[in-house]
Amino acid sequence: MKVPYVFLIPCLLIIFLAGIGPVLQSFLLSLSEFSLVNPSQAPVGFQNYIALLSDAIFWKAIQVTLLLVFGSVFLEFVVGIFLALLITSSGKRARSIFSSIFVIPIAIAPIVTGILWSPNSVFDDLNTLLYYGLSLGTYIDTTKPFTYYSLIMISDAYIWAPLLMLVTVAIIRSIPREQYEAAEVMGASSWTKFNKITFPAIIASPAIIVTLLLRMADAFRMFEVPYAWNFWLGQDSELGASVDTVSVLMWKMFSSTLYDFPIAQITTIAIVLLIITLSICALVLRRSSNLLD
Amino acid sequence: MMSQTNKNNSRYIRYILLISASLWVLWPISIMIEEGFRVDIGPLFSGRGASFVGEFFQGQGGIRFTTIEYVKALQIEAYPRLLVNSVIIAVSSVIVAILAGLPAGFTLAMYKFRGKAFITYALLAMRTISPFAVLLPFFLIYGRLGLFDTYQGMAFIYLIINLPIITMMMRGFFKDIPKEIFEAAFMSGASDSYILRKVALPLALPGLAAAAVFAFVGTWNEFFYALFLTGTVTKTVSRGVWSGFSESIESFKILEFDELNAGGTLAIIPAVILSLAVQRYLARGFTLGAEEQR
Repeated sequence: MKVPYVFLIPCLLIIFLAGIGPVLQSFLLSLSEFSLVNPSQAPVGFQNYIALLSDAIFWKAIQVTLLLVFGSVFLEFVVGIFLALLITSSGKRARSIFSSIFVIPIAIAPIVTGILWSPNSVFDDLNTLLYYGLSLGTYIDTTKPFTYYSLIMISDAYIWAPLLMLVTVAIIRSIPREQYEAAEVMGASSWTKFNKITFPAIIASPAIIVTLLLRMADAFRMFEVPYAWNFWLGQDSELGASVDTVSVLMWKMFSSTLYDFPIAQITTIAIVLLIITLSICALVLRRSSNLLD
Repeated sequence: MMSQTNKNNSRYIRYILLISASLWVLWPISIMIEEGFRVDIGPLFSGRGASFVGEFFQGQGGIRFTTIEYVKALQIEAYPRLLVNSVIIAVSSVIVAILAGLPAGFTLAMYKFRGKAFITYALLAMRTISPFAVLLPFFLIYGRLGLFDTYQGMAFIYLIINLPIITMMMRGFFKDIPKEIFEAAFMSGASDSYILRKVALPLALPGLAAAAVFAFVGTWNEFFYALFLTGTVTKTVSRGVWSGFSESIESFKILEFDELNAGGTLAIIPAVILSLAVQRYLARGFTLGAEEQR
């Protein structure tokens, strides 16, 4: 059969115009010294990359990003499995009601989630309750690093745990009933069944691996929630602040008047970030069982 | 007898867990809605509100239920304009994405060919790309072409998000159709475009609706490109929720928490309703179908 290549032309055109073209130009810009004070866009070599690798602020941002990526994705995974177990062990009616409730956060704009979990939203009421309501005399100090890092991870997990839940529910459904029946005959407890049947099936599934990889690629460019926290913590004019992910760092370099619009440096960071997400995508393509058939 | 009690117990525990998980989901949202009404539980206990949770909090909340923020948002201020902007940009971008993505999705589902891995990989990469990797070229080019802060310019930018979603979701929906149907059509010598229009599309129409709704919600919720590339003309709702909205769309306003919450509440209502309508396909939308097992 003849492949209708004409059908691919509009799609390819957009891929080149909106994706590959701008990326190539970004790469060229990253090789130049382009900024507000130096309008020359001519490539001069890899010096931006070399300078970046010895930049303490960049490494700090990488560390913060890595912490948030692994923390958030792990939390999503755990909460997702927990929600999936609750859903699959319920009756039909409860299942449809509660899974509808659980997927709500996925529809909420990440920037709104940044507002939802902000110090003066949830913690305003919670702290009032702790301090005055229950007269405990303690409150949760959202300006402590441990608290706000956890809160950014919680916000991210709040949005994305439902996705992991949906994928995990599909995996649990595909486990043959006989395995559980055999386990019940042998008198296995619920925990043994989870530990010996359900969890290994989840872990071994390409579906969960691919989903986790894609979530990691997404989390590497995490922007909205840390961006909101920059304001909640009053760090929005400080380069290399404690909640600066790589994306937030680029935003600060871009919008601050302290620096002369260092386009070359920003694109250098963007290209490094792109290399990370491109490698993750290659892994996804490799591990996915159906994308290429 | 013993096992009966055990069963009941585990059922109670399950319901307690289900309800607490629902609270975890709904509690922050309910606080946002309630703060939009300017309700604050602080004074109930302390008479003055908790003011130690960060320098932004005003500490003067109270139980003074008022719909003023919602009314203000919808009537006095430029909020409706933001909603209209978001709809215009999202709908036009999704339509272009469908025109380009539908035939491409069909080809990806039906044929094996050289370059298939390249297209799939490019779409995956576009879905995960850091906006900064394309932002600065767009900034320079849009400035030169006068596309900055225009509906066409924004609709084009959002193709980066929408094209992979539409193409790959449609590919999945075409794959879901039994192969025999297509074999019969191909045997009878029908052309590809005839099969796409008369055989595949009618069967995948519910899927197309789901993909379009999913892409619409994604564009509605998008913040990053809106933050950098929209201005006084095309400012979208997710940007407006953050940076404030006032009398006219042109004026910037210092952020106030009641307003932020009222705006946020109004912004998530359509997104939540639409997402619940397509919840069966959410996983396919977010992973472009990579997570499915065939």
